[in-house]
Amino acid sequence: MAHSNKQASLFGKAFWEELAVYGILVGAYLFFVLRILDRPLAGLFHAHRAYYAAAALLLILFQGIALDLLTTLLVRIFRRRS
Amino acid sequence: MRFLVSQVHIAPQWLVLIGFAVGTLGGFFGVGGSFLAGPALYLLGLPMNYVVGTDVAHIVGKSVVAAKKHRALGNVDIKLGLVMAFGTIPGVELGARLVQRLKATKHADLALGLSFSIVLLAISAFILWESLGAIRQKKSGLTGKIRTRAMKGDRLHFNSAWKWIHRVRVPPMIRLPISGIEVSLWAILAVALAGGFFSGFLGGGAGYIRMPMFVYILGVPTHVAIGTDLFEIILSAGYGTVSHALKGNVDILIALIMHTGAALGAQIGAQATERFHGPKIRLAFAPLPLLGAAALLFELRRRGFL
Repeated sequence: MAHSNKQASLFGKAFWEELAVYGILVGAYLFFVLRILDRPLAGLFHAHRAYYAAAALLLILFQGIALDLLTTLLVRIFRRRS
Repeated sequence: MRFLVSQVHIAPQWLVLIGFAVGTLGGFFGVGGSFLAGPALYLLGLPMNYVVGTDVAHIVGKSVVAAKKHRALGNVDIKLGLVMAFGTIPGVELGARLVQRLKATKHADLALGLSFSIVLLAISAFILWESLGAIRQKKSGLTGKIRTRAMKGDRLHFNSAWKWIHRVRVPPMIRLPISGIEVSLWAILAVALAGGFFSGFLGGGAGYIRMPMFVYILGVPTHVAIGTDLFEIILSAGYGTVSHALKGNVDILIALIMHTGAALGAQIGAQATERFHGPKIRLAFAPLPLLGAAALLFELRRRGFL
């Protein structure tokens, strides 16, 4: 019982550490995205709708794969430590 | 922050929070999460046509992640997903064109908001009734347990529809070993067309309607339905993103911000499915569309549409 409580506490600690690191990395990434992509994307939306559609799909796919790799990596690092 | 495409002011941290909540629930229940994401975006002030298009785009990134997790758990029927694409894509286009028509009449918010609310209320009521019935059957030891290997341990209260569909052997019949069923191509295409239409018309991946149709109409086991639905959402939402972006309904920056929260939530949600069985998952899902419907109706009234 004491062993399982200790395990649960270590798992909880790892989760919060993982969340903090993820939050910092994603915060930095969001700052970059909002600063760099804001105006170019709006320009594409108004002038070249087809390019905007292609960019939208590629961006969300790229982000999906990249963030999955990041979260998987963080989970591995923190769960191994706990 | 002002978003230049949709011309609305929304604080990015709200978008990350919504993404996280929707990602966790989506990964767990195997749906894209538009039953909550759509109403939440509407509450934040986005016009309804942008809610539909942006939600479709946000779902793409999240579904790629969640489908990969479910595939690793053996929950994705790729053959079923690929066959369905032939009905899903025309359905999405049909739905997106209907949104355009409504946008031109200036009644998009009211028509889409009301349609979304009605669909969510109906789904919530049906799943509540069905899953409570299945749990009662399990407790009293009555039949209802499905006897194929792929469906081991899964119980459905509402078995008559898929049993009838399996008996109607209109050729060509498609054998699906992972789902453990053999069903007419036309039944698969009808389900796909309906799912695609709702995805294009109301946004997201329409997992709230496709997942129940997988289970109750095609007879796919709940865990396979969850994984295959996520795979199908990649196709329907991928096509929907391009179609809606071309029609001017996607603010991709909003979708990207929401997705950062969703990526972490999806990790947590997909792991949680290993701990629960069919009827319990469905019962827990039942009140969520109800919350979405309440939020939509509240906002429609606040904006003076009702």
